[in-house]
Amino acid sequence: MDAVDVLVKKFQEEKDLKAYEQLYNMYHKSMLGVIYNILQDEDLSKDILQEVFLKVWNNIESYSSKRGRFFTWLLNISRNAAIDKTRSKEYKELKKNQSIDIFVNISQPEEKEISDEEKTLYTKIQKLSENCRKLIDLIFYKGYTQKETSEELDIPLGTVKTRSRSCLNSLKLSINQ
Amino acid sequence: MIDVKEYIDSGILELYVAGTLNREDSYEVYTYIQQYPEIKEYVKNIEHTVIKIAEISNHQEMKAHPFAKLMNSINKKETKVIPIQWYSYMGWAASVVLTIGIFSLYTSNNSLKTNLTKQIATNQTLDNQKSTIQQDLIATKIALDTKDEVIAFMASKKTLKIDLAGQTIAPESYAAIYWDKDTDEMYVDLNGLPPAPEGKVYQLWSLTLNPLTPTSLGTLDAYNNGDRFIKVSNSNTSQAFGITLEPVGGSASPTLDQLYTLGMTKIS
Repeated sequence: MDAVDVLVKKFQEEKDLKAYEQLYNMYHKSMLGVIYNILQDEDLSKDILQEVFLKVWNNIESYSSKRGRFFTWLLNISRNAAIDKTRSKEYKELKKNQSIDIFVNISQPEEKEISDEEKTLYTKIQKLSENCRKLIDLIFYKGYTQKETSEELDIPLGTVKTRSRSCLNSLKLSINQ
Repeated sequence: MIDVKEYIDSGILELYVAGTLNREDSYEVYTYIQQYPEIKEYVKNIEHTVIKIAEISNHQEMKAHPFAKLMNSINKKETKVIPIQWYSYMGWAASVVLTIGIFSLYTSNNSLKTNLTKQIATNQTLDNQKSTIQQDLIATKIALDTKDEVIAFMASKKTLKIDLAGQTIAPESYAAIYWDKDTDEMYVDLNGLPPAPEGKVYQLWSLTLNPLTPTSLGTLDAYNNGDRFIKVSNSNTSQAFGITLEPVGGSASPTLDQLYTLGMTKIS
């Protein structure tokens, strides 16, 4: 059992506030990115992030590690909350352009100090093919199923799995680096 | 044992982290994660990469609301859980009560309408019954007056009673005539006659003897309607009275084989 699993267990079993806060610190930034990728609105995304972590607090009992990773569970909640929001009247009035995918916004900031790991990632993303960018965006950040992805990208269903492996592999970072 | 490399290369682990696998496949990956450290490591790396991509996708340096704000809303929810739920239940309860109220108003309005309609109908029936009763009362009053009159007439010393006896066709039948010679008023009591058959009517005859001359005193239609006493005017010097059964409308002369009753006037 690794650190994340211990935290999740502690939070789930004891509703431990410290564990909850640590999980929040580990994941909130990425989840905000996921939500913003869908909503393209800063204020709305912050509110949805708040809602997502409230849901995590309230529904942690329903999480089971046998069904998937805690991260995957969180990713699911975030994507669904954001997608739900896009259907709201409030959101429709904002008339946001939803065609932008996560990689359009990714460019290495010039003046900002970034870690080596982030620098590596920026470089890798720049080299990534258009098809791989789209695939990763749909599968991970938009929550598309394999079938939906194959239809959207017009590729055979069987290739979605292998393609997602090869695309992500070219970006892959190692935790132990 | 599975071929770990092959398993990793299949791409199933990426889909596992993305959350697009079905329940069975997810559980399979879960069990392999427990068994094979390489698989676990690989999954954690995918996770890490996806998290990092999501983090750096935010080029605007967007900051989440402070954690304190989240805790604040959690605490608010935790402490106010009872009143909030109570108020929300109040809302529901109120709406349920209101709905029931509206429904029962609607129902009672409907039933009031129905009752009103019924009441109107009842009133009309009562009005009808009342008028019928009034008519009956008037009729009864008239009948009573008539009876009083008849009784008084019959009891009068001046009134002559003539008993008519049953004849061959109906030996058991009988009738009576009450006659005031001075006023020519006459009542016929038909109580002892069988009901007239369909299309027939009794006809009263005044008879004078030597020679036998019948004079019609009219048909006794009222008997067919249930009247026992029928008033007749008789200015003849009748020596006898006979009642025959005749076709409706009466006959010019009596049908003798249909002579029901016959009686002689007593010569005083």
